[in-house]
Amino acid sequence: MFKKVPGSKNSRMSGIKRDAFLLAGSATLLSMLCAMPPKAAAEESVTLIRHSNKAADYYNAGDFGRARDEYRTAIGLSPKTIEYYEGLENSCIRSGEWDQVAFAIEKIIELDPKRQPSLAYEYGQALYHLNKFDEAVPWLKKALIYADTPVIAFTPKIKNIDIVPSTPYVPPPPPKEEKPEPPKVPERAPETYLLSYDNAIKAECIVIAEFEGLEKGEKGIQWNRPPLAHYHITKNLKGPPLNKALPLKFELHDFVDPTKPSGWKFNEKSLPEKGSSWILFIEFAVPKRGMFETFQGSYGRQPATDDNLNNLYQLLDKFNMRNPNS
Amino acid sequence: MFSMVSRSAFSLGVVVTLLAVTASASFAESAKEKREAIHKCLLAIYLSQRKTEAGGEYLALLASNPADGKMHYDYGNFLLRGGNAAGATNQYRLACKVQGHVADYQIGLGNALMRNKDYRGAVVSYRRAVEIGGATGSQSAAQLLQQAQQYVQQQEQYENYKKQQAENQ
Repeated sequence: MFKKVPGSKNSRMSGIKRDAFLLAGSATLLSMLCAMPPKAAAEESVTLIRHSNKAADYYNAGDFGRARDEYRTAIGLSPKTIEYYEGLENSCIRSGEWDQVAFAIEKIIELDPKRQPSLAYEYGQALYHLNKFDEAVPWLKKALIYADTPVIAFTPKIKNIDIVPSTPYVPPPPPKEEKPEPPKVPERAPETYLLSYDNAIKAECIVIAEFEGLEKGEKGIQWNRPPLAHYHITKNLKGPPLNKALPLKFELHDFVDPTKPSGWKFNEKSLPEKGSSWILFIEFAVPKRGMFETFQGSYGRQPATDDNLNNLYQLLDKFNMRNPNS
Repeated sequence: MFSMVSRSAFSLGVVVTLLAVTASASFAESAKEKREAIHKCLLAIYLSQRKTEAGGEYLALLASNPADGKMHYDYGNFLLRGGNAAGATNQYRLACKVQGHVADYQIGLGNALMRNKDYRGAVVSYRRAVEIGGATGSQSAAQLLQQAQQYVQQQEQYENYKKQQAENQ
């Protein structure tokens, strides 16, 4: 597909690039191996032992070709284990693959130079069969010197695949007996759930107004007979525009708990300060008997503190109930 | 004729030796077997490189196994090729002594004796080879025997001529 341009440096350059790519690839592989977690290493060792055991089985069964393949795979996984090179060497001696024998012996000598005398005979034989006569002669002569040294015959080992985990196994703790949780005590009486801003914003009209005082000459104020109070609207947050002067039925209790506390008496000191700012939730924007009524009695009058205002604005914005320009 | 005979014998010997080494490629276990295998390898290498060190390897192999008729025969071929007909004769004799029923050894001995101008002895050897049969050389034993007999006749004629000359003087 790619033709080499005669006289160009393309082939050389591609060769350099290929070398660089191979170098980078091998470096990456090496770093990956170094950074391999212990679990991965354990899995790899299991694979290695499996190949080693297969190789031993094939060797013992006389299937030296397959034994050679398994030993080569094991060498690929663990290139510094002499045992696998020995297996490869002996398998290939039996199958007459002398190039493989020479390769295996060279690697063994590279890893353990002390074994040079004991392998001189096999290496000399391998070189002889590879027609490398000049190289074979010194090895064979060396082998003659060490011919009387007893050599341990190669027997492939079969290993167990019992994996010892790096961290000891800790059994999980016994499940705790879950006791049924006691029923939660409500923070407040369920009947008071009605008294909330979520419900209050459903009122037809919501305004911010300043308290001006009770109607003059108001007498006979009782628990269930509220007086008339005057407010001055400073801001209309929700609902139709109302007159700034707002007459309001000044309920003395909320409607959730209308029971009169014992010994209760009306006291003007309990009234809010004149000029103080209040949030008024007016349930119906229509006065009854000349007075507007608040949501759930006294709950419909909330002091215009920052927290209350924030809460109210959030709810109005959430449900898109707020008057424009308010 | 002698050179042709010796050349054919030598080439046969080399081939047989190499085959023997290849056949014994399986690995030796004992030290003796190992030594033999090494010497056989070295011998094959020296023979292929036509080095005189091969003689030492033959001797080493024969020292470890003196009853190996084939090795004596091969060594005889090697010596004959190198011009050592007397040594070759000895080796062929040893080969024939160990395995007298092999026609090739008798032919080899006959060739060596021919080289030593012992034509009568060669005729005896060739005759034995013809009797045994089954020679594997390029020339048949019968032809060699015929040639040897001719040499014997010529030698006898020459001797008779010499005798007559001596008597006339």
